[in-house]
Amino acid sequence: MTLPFDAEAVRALATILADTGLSEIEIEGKEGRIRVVRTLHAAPAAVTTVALPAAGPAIAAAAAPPPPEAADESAHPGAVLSPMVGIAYLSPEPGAATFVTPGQTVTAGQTLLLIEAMKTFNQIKAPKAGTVTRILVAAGAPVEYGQPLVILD
Amino acid sequence: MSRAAAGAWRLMSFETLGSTSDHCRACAEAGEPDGLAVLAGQQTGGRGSHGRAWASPAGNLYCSVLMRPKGAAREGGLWSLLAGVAVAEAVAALLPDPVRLSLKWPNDLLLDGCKLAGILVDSSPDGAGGLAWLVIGIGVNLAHAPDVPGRRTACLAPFGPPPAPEAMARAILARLDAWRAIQAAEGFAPVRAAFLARAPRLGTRMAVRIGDTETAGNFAGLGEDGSLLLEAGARVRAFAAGEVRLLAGA
Repeated sequence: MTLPFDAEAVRALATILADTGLSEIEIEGKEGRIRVVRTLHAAPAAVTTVALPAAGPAIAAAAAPPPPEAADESAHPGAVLSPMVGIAYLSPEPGAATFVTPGQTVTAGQTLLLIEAMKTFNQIKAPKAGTVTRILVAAGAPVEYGQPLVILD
Repeated sequence: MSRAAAGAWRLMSFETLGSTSDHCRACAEAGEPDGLAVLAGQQTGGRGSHGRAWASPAGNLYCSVLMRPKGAAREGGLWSLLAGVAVAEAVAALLPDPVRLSLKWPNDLLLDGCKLAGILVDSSPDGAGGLAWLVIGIGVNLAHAPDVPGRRTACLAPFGPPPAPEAMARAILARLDAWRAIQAAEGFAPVRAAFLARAPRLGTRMAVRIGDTETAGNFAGLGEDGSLLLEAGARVRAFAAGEVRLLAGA
């Protein structure tokens, strides 16, 4: 048996939550029910809510303690947003120098950080040349789809 | 360094490398096409997950492969599970009693609960939301079960003369080819089913650790995106990352 799980629907709802500033959305249809909850000023963790059939147990989202300013930065024109859910790594390996530091200039395509999901380390690259003004995530922190990671000016 | 072919794969073999994945990744960034497999007799800087070293004595397999599959950058994690299934099948064919093998999410291969093989994947985006390349690093304990503090490890030596690393690599590459074709034709669902067939039973107690936070619950399968589903209390939570530990008393 596997659980029906519409990841795209959950992602879409999470995006709407982030865009509208709402704290909770729930939709229900004959396929089941999806409820996505956001703690305001809290970035969600590398954990998402899963839809269950309507007859199944109640569902709630999990949220982790968050980088406080992250919620407000996604509209920043220089924000580099996370393309996936996972864990942020700021250096190629523990103890090594970070990929970038605030104030550093970077070229388009330069690696800014890694996001690990399922033991796959995904490079997050600078979409354009610029200066790293802020790094919004901590090493080892869970990150959500669409969460701002770095501000490039 | 020597070169050979294995099906459509190009094998590049070294006596010693720092890390086969580092070498393979450098080749990827230099424009090497899909289908390179880098082998080393031993590694001086083998990497495990969570910053751990991967003990790399001669006699075990150290192999990294370069692929350039079509697909979204955020689907890189699916290949991590696919690689776990491919390695499990290649090793299972060598064992008299393959049910002793199991997969621990996302891709650890265990023999009687002890670590036999590990996989780490590196991926790079193409700038348009797609994958530019994937490097899948695979270590299999063939002749030696390294002594790792706090970890139980296994190798294939107790079952007779262990396979030569290159023979093991060729068997794994053949299964990677097979699963890549299946995933291209049918999507991730067959990979997920194959993974679940070798995973702990649904309902098995396990815990997932992210940083200092550990969540315990009952194994509830895999999401369509390869995430681990854990039922904790009345909730089912999907984990995209984290370190899994099986709990006693399942």
